[in-house]
Amino acid sequence: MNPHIIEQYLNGTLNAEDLRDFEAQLAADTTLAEAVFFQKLLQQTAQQYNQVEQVTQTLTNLSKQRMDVAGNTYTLDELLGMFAPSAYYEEELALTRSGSTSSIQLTKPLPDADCLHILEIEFATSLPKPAAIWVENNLEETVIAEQNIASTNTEYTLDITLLKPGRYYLKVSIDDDTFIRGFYVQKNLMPPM
Amino acid sequence: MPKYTNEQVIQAFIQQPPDERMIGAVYDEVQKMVKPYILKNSGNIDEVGDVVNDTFMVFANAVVQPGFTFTSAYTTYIYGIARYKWLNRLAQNKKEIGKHTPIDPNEPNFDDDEENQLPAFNPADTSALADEDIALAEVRQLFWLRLHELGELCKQILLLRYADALSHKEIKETLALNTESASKENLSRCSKKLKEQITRNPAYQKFIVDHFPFVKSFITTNL
Repeated sequence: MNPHIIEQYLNGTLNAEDLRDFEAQLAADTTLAEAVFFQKLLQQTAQQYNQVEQVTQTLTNLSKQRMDVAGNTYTLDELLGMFAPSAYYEEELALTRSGSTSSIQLTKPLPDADCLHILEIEFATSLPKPAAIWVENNLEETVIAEQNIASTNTEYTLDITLLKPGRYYLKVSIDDDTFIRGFYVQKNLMPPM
Repeated sequence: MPKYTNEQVIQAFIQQPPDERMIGAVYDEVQKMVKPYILKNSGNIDEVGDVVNDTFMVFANAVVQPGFTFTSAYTTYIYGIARYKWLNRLAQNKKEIGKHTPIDPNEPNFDDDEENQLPAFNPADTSALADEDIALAEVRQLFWLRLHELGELCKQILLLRYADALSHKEIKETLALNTESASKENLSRCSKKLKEQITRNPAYQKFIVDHFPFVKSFITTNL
């Protein structure tokens, strides 16, 4: 069969007589019907090829944007959940920013620091007493259990390798004085809120 | 309820450039629906990723067609594709399809969507699942993939001819070929190569055999 005639049939450029002949042949010949089907799908695929490629590229880009350093990818809903701030803690942080009443002063991490693997903690001055530190996630669940820092220390490093991307809160406590500082893990994955 | 309307989803896929946020949201929905379904039906987490990607690509190839419309919620269509692909895969792998469990709408990861609460079906009867629209969408994906994998010259010639409707003279000029005959010969060679790759694919062969009346009617429709 002549591929050119199939193209002409699909493009609607066969003259009336050739069209009549072709349609008669098409009704009787299953091989021809399959060939026309193939050609029609080929043409449609070609016409939409670039659009599908763009969708594919969009998805590839999204996957990269949503992949953490360990190679895990997250859905948008998951990321929104992981980075959603805790309203209660954010209120406390806002109060701290407007003038902290705590005797605990941190120079590291900076407010809303973006951290990966380790969290470096540095106190502005020596601690008056041993302190307890721990990390909570945005659901106010403890994700790094309480650790004690001797009063002689001004620096401390926490291993946060196991923390998924998201919004976290470092808490430092001496007696009944508790200081809170917000930070992120892999903030680059935070979707627009 | 699905997050978006069918029209919003179609628009997201056909607009230039595609709507990244919506594309991501639809992909997430595919993931959310497919994961529990595959895991409950003899699948493992690695297979989830494959089926999610395949389902999304079949969906994309269908939705971008001019005049495409959904006959139900787009989430139902996604589920149909995933189910179709997974049951075919189980059949190919000779896994226990008799143990098939439809998606549980009470599953926490699954939208409480009446459209997704599909009627019961016989899981052993894969032909009952071979909904023509879904089977056609899978064939469209096969065409796209094979075209994508063709050599660059072949792909260019086919796209110039069938997407841009260029004459052989224009193709010769665009691709700096020596003669118009070179364009014709290459088009013929590349079409043949693509046809060989597609027609020897079992999914394509099955589609033609199972849906021949549809194939014939498709030729004359504007789909």
